[in-house]
Amino acid sequence: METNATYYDGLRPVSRGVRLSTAPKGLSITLAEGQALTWPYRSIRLDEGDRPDSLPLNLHREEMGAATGERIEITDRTFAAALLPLCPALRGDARLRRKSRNKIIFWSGAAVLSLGLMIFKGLPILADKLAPMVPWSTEEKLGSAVEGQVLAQLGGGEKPKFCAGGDSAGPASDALAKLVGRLAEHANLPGKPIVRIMDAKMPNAFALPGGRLVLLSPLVKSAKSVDEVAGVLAHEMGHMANRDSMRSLIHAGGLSFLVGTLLGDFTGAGALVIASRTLLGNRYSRQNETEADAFAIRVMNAAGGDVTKMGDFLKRVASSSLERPLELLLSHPVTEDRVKALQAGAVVRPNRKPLLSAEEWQILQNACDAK
Amino acid sequence: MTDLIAGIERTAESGRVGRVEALPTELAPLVTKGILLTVVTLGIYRFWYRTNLRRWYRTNTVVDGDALAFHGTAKELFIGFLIAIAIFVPLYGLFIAAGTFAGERLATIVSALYGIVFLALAQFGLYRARRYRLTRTSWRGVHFDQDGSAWRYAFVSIGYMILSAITLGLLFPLLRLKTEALRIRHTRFGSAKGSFDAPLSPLLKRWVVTWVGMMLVLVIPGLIVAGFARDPAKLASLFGGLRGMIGVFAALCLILVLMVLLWTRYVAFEFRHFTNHTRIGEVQFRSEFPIGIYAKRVILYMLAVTAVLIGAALFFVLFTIGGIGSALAATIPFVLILVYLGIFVIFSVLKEIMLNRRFWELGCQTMTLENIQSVDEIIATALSSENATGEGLADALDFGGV
Repeated sequence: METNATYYDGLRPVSRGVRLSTAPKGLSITLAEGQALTWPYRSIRLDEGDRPDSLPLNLHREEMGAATGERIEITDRTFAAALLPLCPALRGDARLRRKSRNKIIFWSGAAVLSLGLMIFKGLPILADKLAPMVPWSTEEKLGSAVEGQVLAQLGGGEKPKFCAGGDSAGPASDALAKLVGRLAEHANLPGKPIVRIMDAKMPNAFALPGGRLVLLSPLVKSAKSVDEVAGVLAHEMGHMANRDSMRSLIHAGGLSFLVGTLLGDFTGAGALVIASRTLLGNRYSRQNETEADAFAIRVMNAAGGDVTKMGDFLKRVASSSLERPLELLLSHPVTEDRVKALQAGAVVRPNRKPLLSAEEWQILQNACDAK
Repeated sequence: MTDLIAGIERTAESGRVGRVEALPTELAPLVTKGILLTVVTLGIYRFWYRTNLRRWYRTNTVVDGDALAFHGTAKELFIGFLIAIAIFVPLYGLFIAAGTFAGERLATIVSALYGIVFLALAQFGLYRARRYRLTRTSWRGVHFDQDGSAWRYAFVSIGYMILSAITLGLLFPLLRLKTEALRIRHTRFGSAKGSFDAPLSPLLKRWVVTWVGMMLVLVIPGLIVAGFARDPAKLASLFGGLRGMIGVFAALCLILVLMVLLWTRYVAFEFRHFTNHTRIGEVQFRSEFPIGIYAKRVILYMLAVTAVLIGAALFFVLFTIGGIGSALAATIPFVLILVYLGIFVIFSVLKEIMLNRRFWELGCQTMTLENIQSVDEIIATALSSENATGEGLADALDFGGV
């Protein structure tokens, strides 16, 4: 069979018209100048990504695993159909290709597995192990740096007003200090907690790095008993004892990197990265909250408090029945579960001494009144 | 003597003009399959997708009757990715450690340092990635190449970036000009070298208009709001409530559309300007890129994106409203994730098909190569280096490019 085709010698970007014919040894190529070459059939390769029925047919030649640079372009469909069956290795060595592809699939699977294990198991463990190694003094420095901003935001841009604790003096601060002392006795905290009651609009409490625990005034004011406030305080102490601010920092940083790496977005700015970070990060936070709850149960039991009252507080404050369906998006466990856990773990001694006397509790509750 | 006469004869004949065609082959199936698989495999498939996409663009670009060919493999990219990870894991860990254990003041220095290192590595990676793409591209059997130092490129880039930042973006075209010059002048096609002689002033003139436009678009609304700030009641009545919110939303959309158009106007002009001053060997490139037509395409794309967003939002809201309280309620977050991924996939597909492909098509159809017969004198040369590791750094820093 014979036909005309275009030939490129790979040395100069010039297309040359040639005459092709299927010879016994291989494809015979006759150039215009009369020169003739032969491509052995086993050296003929189809261009990567091309199908055998594509037209024009692009073929190139490989010797000893390397391309010689020569190319042929065939537009004659009949000739192509006759030539292709004669070439045994159009895609290169079939066995080598299969081995190579299997290797890639295997290692990709291994990589995804290892990254997955790292994200779900390794990173939390790493964060847990590294956080305690950060010196307390470093966390304190971080806390004082962050405090100004966070508290200003909560106070609606105004300077935060503290009613008790920290630098404030007075009977409310004394009562607060006594309560903190009774809990801290059984706590084993990494440093001295700085507890303050801040004037605010919403009931809440949080722990800033460095043991800076803040109770917002509506929480104290609307509490039905000292045990409610004590339970929340013990929970925040749990965050402090577990070095949760450091853990979250390390976890978030590592997560950004790992997810970004996997998805090919190292800048971590891609929306997919942020979305997965949110989901995975919240899972980690939920774990931290559960551990802080367990800490609160232990400390309250040891100090003679009634931690089920904290469950009452959570129920009052829990916003909606939408929690369960949105569980994955929450950074805290579903309230129902938390209350159950608190009630199950509470050990309330019958003749326990209350954490604060009725008088002291009254003073504390009114800490933010008439200032 | 013969050479002199032959030389005279050559200049006497007029240079032949070669055309560039963009073949109207189907792209949608490749893109859709590629992006879906990439999402499903958590990103691993991207190397295969990118390689297939590059091959598609090159084999459908026909220059003076012969198509370009692509010789890259996904395996190279994947290996490069693995190597980049090996380099990045300790680097990133170092920075996290430094940031955590440093004091506040040191922490800001560390993050600034990190930013500069990151930027430098990105530019380095981009240059290397371009070399990878060029060495894997051939025309009529001869390969392209890029020599020169990637560190020098990174250094020059960052220098001009700082200059541009200092002038609030006014000198941005200078950055573009200098980096393009470096890229083109180190580009090779066999024995032919690239040359670049684009003047700055036409580019600057075009940019100033765009820059002023962008500043106005950003500043005027700001001034309006600031003007009303003295009268908070009026501000609340204007922007409060549902009508106000819709108004603000519409204004933001308008601003976004204007910014995109202004940017498109510049980018298309820059492409035309640079192309008209690029030569490879004796071949002079000419472009009459139709800026207006491309701008229309960009508008169409933005409309499509908006339609998809509205559709997805409506669907999700209806699903949530209908689903609450029923057995489907537990699936709501999963549906949210699915809708999100769906939007991501659709946006990526639309961007490739409606924007990137159109740019390529219009660019090819309006490009000519003068003196194309001079390629006959070109000889294939050995590549500057085999660069078997693809573009790992650029991939890790997510600066893919076609």
